[in-house]
Amino acid sequence: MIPLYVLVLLPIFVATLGYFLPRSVYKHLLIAAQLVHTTLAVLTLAHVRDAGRVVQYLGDWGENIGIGLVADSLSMPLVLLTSAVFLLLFLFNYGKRYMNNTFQFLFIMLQGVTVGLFLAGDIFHVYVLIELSMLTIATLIMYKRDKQALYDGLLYVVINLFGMTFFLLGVGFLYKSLGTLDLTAMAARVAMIENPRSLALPFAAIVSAVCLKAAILPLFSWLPSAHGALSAPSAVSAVLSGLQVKVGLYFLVRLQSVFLPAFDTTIFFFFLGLVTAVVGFSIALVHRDVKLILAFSTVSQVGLILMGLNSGTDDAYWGSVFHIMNHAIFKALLFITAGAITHAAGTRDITRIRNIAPKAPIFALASLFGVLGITGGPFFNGSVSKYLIQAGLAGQPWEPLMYLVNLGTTMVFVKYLQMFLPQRATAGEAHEEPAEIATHHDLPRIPGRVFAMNSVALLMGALCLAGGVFAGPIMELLFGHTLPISGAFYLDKFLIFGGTLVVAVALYYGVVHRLEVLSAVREFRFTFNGVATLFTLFFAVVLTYTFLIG
Amino acid sequence: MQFVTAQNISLVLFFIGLYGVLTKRNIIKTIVSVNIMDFGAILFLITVNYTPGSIPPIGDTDLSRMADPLPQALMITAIVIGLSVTAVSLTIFISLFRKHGTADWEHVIRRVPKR
Repeated sequence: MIPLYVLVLLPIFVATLGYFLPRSVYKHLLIAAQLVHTTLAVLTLAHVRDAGRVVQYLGDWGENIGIGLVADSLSMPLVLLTSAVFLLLFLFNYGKRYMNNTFQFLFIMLQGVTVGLFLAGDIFHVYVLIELSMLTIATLIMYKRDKQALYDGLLYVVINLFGMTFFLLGVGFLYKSLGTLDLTAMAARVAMIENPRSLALPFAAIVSAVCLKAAILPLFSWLPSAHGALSAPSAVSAVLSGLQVKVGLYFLVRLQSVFLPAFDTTIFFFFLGLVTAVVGFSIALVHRDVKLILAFSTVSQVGLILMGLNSGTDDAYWGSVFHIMNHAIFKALLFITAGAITHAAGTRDITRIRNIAPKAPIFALASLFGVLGITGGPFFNGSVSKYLIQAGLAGQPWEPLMYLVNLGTTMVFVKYLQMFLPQRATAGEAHEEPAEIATHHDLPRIPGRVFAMNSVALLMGALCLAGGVFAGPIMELLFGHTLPISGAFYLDKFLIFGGTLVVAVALYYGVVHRLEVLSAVREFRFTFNGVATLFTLFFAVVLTYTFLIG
Repeated sequence: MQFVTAQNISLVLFFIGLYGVLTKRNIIKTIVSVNIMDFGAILFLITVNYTPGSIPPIGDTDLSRMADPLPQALMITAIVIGLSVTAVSLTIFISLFRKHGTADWEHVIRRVPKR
């Protein structure tokens, strides 16, 4: 068993110490460090699986005083996921032009910070790491520095700083009433509080900030501009959508379980998840920009995961955790292939990208795998996790709503798949504007560039398929949860998937495609004050709700 | 019962900052307001567990009279973080101002190209 802080500090130390090495040496050093990191994550996961939960306090301080790092069956799979996704994306970037030392440094820093967030067992530690990750991300999304990027970056930084002041105030109230900042000790002390209402304010403040990170319904308006930022390299968008949003979800779940003795908010967050899912896919249907469609589809998937986590059954819970991992993989895959496809097509407008298969065959194939994953195609990983969430809801009155969410996701990706359609006869103007993305065409290529991109895309596509075919063993290995699949499972799945697909195609091309009012939604943007007001309202609603049920 | 305590002042500061964030359209004012909120939260944390007459937790002091060292240690970190995030947001603002020539959130939104 290695000390857990090694997992956090290894990437950060290597990235810092090697910063002044020549670019190509630095790159290979970081790849080696990441391989070591992934191996260590696997070993720690194996240890946690055999020996159970591990808690370590930093700096020889005692329990409840020092900063605790917690490795358990929920955090370790996510650490492994982080390590693997960062490794794959780093390899994908292998020959990219923007891979200078600063970019590599920030990217690897973000890996260390994200791992630290999943392992953190102390709420102030979480505050520090969230602020750190925010600074790193802000720099990364403005990396290619165009006009739009500055606005995206500023909005992201200021709205998160605003949310984190609520978090800090909540931490103060918690320390005042519980006398500890350690999440484990907190859980024990919450049970002893006589009047749960006294915890409503800190709970609401901290949870609102965490929901802002997770991009739950009224608080997602910063997400598309950050995740879909024109200037963010696609690997950065992939990390944001795949992992950073999950950090918020992870802490939401953690906090809910800490405060469970005081208030049971599962129903509230279940319905919030449902609304988030529906609104997310509705807005994704409206947009035309490929990256924005993917960003809003992330909002909808976050809603789905939130539903599963709060539906109260074991199956749905682990199904959602599995979906967190699956979503990280296929959304990362979709973002990187979308980056390559838009580059090949010279535009990001989905209605103008056509006939992509011959232009970028490998990316087209990989992105088809990703789409099958996210829509829950049979044999793909999304089908298993969605099936589990649905199985967890079975018998409850809102089971049919799952079909609605599935239908919405499928519709979004029916729209997404129009890039595979053949060129329209009237599309003569399609090449008039080879957008700003395809500017560096003629510069010399770094060797290994195309090979790295292709193989990573195919590998991630294969992971989507493997995650579905070997779902049973994988879930058993990672979470120790046995998959309850009956023999009829795959036949059922085929029929449901086929039915959903047919309805989705009919609805999209029959109705949604033709609506003209949609462009108004597309143009609509919240100002900063609007976003801040929504946040404050959300805080007030959570506060009122917890006060009433407390 | 005394009303002008550090704790009450910290909460008042927090809500003054919140008012600024919700109502001001100027980006500089927004950043300043968020900072006021941040300082409100920091002041609140420092006052937690404070008993009148306690002495700072520095060096070999009498343990029974020492103030709770934890909030103070944490708040040094929080102040530094607040400073650096403010520095970063002001830096982005300067570049934004050079590009768009305005300090108003709504004007900036109108000048950012639609997608």
